[in-house]
Amino acid sequence: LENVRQSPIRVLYVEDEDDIRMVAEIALGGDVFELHACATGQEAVSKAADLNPDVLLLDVMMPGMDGPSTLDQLRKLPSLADTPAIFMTAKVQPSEIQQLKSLGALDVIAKPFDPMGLADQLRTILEAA
Amino acid sequence: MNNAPLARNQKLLALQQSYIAQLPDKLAKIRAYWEQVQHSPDDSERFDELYRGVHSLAGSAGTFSFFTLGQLARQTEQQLKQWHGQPHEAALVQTINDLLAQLLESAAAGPEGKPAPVSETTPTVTKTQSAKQLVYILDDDGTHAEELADQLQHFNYCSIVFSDTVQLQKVMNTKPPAALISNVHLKEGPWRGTQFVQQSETIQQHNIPVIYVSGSMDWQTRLATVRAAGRAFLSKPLDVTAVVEQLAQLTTPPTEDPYRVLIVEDTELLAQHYANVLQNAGMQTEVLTDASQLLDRLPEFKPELILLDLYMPCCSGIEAAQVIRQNASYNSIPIVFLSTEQALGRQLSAMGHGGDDFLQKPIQDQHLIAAVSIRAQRFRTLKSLMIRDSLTGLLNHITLKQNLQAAIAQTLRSNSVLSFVMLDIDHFKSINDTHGHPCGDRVIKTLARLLTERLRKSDIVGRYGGEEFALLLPDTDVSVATRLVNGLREDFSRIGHSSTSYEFRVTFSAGIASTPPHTDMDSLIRSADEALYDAKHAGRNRVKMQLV
Repeated sequence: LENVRQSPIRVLYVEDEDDIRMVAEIALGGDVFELHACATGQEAVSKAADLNPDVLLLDVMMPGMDGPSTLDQLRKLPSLADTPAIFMTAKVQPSEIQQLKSLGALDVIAKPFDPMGLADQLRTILEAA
Repeated sequence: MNNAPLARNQKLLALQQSYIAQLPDKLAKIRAYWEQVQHSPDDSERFDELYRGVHSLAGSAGTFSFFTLGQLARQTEQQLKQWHGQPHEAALVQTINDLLAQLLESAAAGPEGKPAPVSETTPTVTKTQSAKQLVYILDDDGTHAEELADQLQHFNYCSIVFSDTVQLQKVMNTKPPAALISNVHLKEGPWRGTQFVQQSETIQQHNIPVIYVSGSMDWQTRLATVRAAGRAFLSKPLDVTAVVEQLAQLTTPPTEDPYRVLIVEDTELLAQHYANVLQNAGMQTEVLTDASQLLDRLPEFKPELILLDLYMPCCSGIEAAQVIRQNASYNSIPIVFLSTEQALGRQLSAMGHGGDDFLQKPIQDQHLIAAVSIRAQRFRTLKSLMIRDSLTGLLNHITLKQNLQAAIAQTLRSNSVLSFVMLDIDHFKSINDTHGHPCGDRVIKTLARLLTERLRKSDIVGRYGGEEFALLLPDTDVSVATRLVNGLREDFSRIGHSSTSYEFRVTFSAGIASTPPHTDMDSLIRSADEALYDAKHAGRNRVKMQLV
C-alpha cells in the first residue's frame, strides 16, 4: 500500500443486497477509495482480473456463491493471490470471526455498519496491516 | 471525509427513506415464509429463504438506524436455527411468533436516534409509487391465504396472514391495519371470525373495515357477517379482483372534490348568504350579481349546479336559463330557480324553460343544502358515466384525449416534463378465444385495477381501446416512467388469472413518449404508439421508449 497517497485505493466489493450496496457506495465515495461494487460473487470473479483491485471487500452470506467461496475463486487469479481481503458479516461471534480470518481474511467488519464510519473503519484496518 | 458530508448525508437519508418504504414488504415476506415452513418443516429451500431474510434484516436494519429491529432480527435468527433442529417444539414456535410480532412493532416505530430530518430529495424509485396499505388476513387455510397475500402485493397492498386470533390480536393492538379480511369460521371454532371482530376493541376504535370470506353463501352466514360489522362479503374461492375492488372502496377515504355551485343573484347580500351556507356545507361557490357575465364564467368555473334568481334587473332567470341551454355542452348542468314566487303556475312555467327545480325564498339553510347537493351529486354521477369506460371505470378515449391536451399545455407552461404511455395486453385475442369473453373482460378489469392502485393521484389512467390502455404521468421523465411501467409489467405478469379450467398468466407491452420533445398531442401519441409497435415486434412483454 505504498501508493496510497498517490492514487485511490481500488476496492472490489461484493454485496447481494441492493440497499446495503448503495449505502456502501455512498459511504466510500470520495477520492480515498475507488469502489467497484458487484451484486454477486460471479460478477466479482469475472471483473476481478481486469480491475486489479487493492482490496477485496466481501459480504459473507449471499445466495449462490457466498463470500468465502468467492474469495476462494478470486485467490485462484495469480494477481489476487495476496490481495488483502476483508469480510463483512452480521455474525460477530468470536469463533466465527476466527474462522473467517483463518480463510485468509485480514479482518472482519461487523454488520450492521455505521455508514458514516465505514470509510474510517476500512482505512484503519488497512493501515494496521 | 473527502466528499462533502452534507451531500452524503442527504443521499443516505434518501436511501433510508427507500429502506423504510420496503420494510413492510420484507417483514410480510418473512412472516409468510414462517407460516409456510411451519406447515412443511422439511421444505429446506423455504427455510433458507426465511433464514436469509431474517439474517439480512439483522445485518442491514442498524445501518438505517433501526437498531432494535436489527437486534430482534438477530434473536429471531438464533431461534430459527434452533427451531430448524426441532420443528415441533411448541415453546420455540411461540418465542418466534412473539419475536415476529415485536419485529413488526419496532419497524412501525420508525428509525431510532435523532429524528431524521426531512430530506429534500425523495428517492426517485419510490416517487411514482404511493405507500402500501397494510391488510391483515385471518385465515387458517394456509396455502390459499398465502396466495391471496401474494397477489394483493401487486395491487399495492402489503398483507400479512394470521392463522389464529391470539396472534392477530397482539399485532393488531400495536399496528392496526387499513382493513381486515377474515374467515367467518376458523379451526378454532365455528363463527370464531365474526366473534373475534365483535370482541376486538381495536377494530371498533379505529373503525377498521372488515371483509368476510366464507365457503358458504347462505342467509345465516351473510346475516352473521352483517351483524358482525362486515362491510363486504365474498365467497370462496376468492376472486382477487373482487377482493381488491372491495379493499379499494373500503380503504380510500371519500376525498371527493367539493361540489361547485354558481350563484346568480342580483342582491349581493343575499347571494353572499347563500354562498356562506353552501360553503359551510363543504361546497365551492362563486357569486355573479350580473347575469350577463354568465357565459364568461361558465367555461372556467365549470359549475355542477347553477342557482338562479328568477327576477333580476337585466333579464329574468327564465331567459338566462334559456341562454345557458343554447350551448349544447351546458345542457345537463342542473339549474335551480330561487324566487319568492308562490303561484304554482309561474313556478311550473319556469321549470318548462330549462330549470330543474324551484326553491321558494326565504329558504331554510338545511333545505338549500339538501336541494343543491342531491342534484349536484346526480349530475356528477351522470357525467362520470359519460366520461368513463363502463367496464373498467377508467376515463374513456375522448375524455382521456381532452385530459392529455390539457396536461401537455400545463407541462409546457410550467416547463416540466410529462410522459405518455400506451399499453397493450399481449395476445389478447387468444385469451378471448381460449377462455371466453367474460374471462377476457376480467383480465382487462384486473389490469385497470392494477394501474389505478399503483399510480399516483395526479396520474391519469384511461382505456384507450379494446385491450389498449394509456397512462398520463405528469412530472415524470421517460426513464422514470420506463422503470415504473416495467415494474407494473413484471407485477402484472405474476398475477394468476383463473378460467374455468386452469390458471393462466398474461403480459403486456408498452411504448413511452414524452413532452418535451413532443409539443403537440398528435405527435406525442404517434411516438408512443410507434414505441409500442417496437415493443410488440421485439417479442412483446417489454417496454420501449420513443426514438429520439
